[in-house]
Amino acid sequence: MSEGSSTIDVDDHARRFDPESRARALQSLLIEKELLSSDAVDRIVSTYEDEIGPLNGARVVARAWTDPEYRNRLLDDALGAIAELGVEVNEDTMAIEVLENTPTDHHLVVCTLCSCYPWAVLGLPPTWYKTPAYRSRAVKDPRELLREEFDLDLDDGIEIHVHDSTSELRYMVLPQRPPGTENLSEDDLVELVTRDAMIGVARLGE
Amino acid sequence: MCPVAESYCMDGIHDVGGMDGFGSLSIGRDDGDNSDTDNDSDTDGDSGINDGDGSTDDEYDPFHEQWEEVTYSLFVATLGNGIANIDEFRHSIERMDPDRYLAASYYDRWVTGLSRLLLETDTIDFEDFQARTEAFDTGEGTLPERTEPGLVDELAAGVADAYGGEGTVRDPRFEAGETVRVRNHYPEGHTRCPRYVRRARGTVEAHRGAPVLPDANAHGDPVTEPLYEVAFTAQELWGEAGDPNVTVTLDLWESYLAPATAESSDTPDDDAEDVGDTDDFERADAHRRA
Repeated sequence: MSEGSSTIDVDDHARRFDPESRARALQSLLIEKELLSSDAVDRIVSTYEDEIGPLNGARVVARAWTDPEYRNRLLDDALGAIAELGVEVNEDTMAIEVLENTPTDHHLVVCTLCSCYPWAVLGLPPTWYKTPAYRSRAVKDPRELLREEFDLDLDDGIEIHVHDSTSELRYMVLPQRPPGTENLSEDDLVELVTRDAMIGVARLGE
Repeated sequence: MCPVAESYCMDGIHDVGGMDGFGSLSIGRDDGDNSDTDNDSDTDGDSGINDGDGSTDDEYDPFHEQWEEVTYSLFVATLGNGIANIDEFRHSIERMDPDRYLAASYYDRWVTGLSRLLLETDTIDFEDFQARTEAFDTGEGTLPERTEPGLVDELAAGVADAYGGEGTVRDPRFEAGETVRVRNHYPEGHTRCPRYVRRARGTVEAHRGAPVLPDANAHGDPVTEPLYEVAFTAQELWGEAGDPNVTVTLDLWESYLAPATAESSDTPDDDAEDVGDTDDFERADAHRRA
């Protein structure tokens, strides 16, 4: 590390310039230093916009609803079961545990320290997930948080299990299959699964 | 190592679990607004959340501004080129001035942290950075065009390396079902042990391998250590106000924990007697002081 960096006040610099100018400055410097390239930026962005997203998680959920053996494998070894559907998860970057909601148990995922999230199956997290408002309250007052902010009114008797993602082990909720969907195909079921249900701020069919 | 003593600050503003007063999420959930028409970057901050974060895949829209896409790429470049690891990156954000942290949008925090890392590692020069920022601020900046097919795959591999991976699993000290107490420990520097669980008693749910210890890895030492899922009742964490039907589970490294033996661990000072193995913490602390 640079001795000289002790005199650099990054926060002061950040106060004086908007993040766009600072990001562009870094982009231009890193491209000049051959640490980044114009096409790499395009590829990185398209990966997160087009290839990774909540659809992957929805496919996992719909399969678990329709194939009890797959559900068992998913709860036992999530990375292996997810890979069966062709969803690529680099095991160096995260492990995944799938948490199954039941009529009496509800799981809720948060990262109080930053924004850790099972992005390989759900994409990048929504903005609200990253806010101090959500992060602070989810661990202390989850029932009221769900009621007031997400219109999810969980009976006091339903046990809420909050999972604070403090490591590279990431959590995804397996929601309950909504009633009245017995005749739907797996593809149709995929359409019913929302990102919010896989974070645990929604229950499907309620 | 970061040269400024106060930049070690660990119990920073980012550790918000259980704090009050951040207000409503004000999520525009049912208004169908999937467009980001407001160009003011502050709207992606911590109060305005009506930004088209749809809950279905059709509405999935991870970036709302072009500079946010760029910022994500800067993160990939910084980790992918081995300039910093994931824990150093997290720590670079945690060292922000608290008022700035709260005022900044999410990706503004990333830009701030990344610029800190790139400067501290001498990857970029502050005067160049300053001049370049001013140029873009006044509309005079230009982006160099450079293509390098294959770079993105190299960066992806480098990012995976930057996550530290899994160590050799040594015998875990605690077993599933065992009651443990989180140590009353306030280390300097980075940690993934939030304030709100310190001194609380929880139950080990499972042993989860031996990943790299963030407290040490953020300061240049990729030591690994057993990790546990530990569950706490809400009443243990929040007293009588705690919901009797809520549990909170965290992933905690072994050196964050002590056995919850009898009366002795009820006073924080006794933790030291409970803990025979503080090597990793001491090692991490030594690195911070170095």
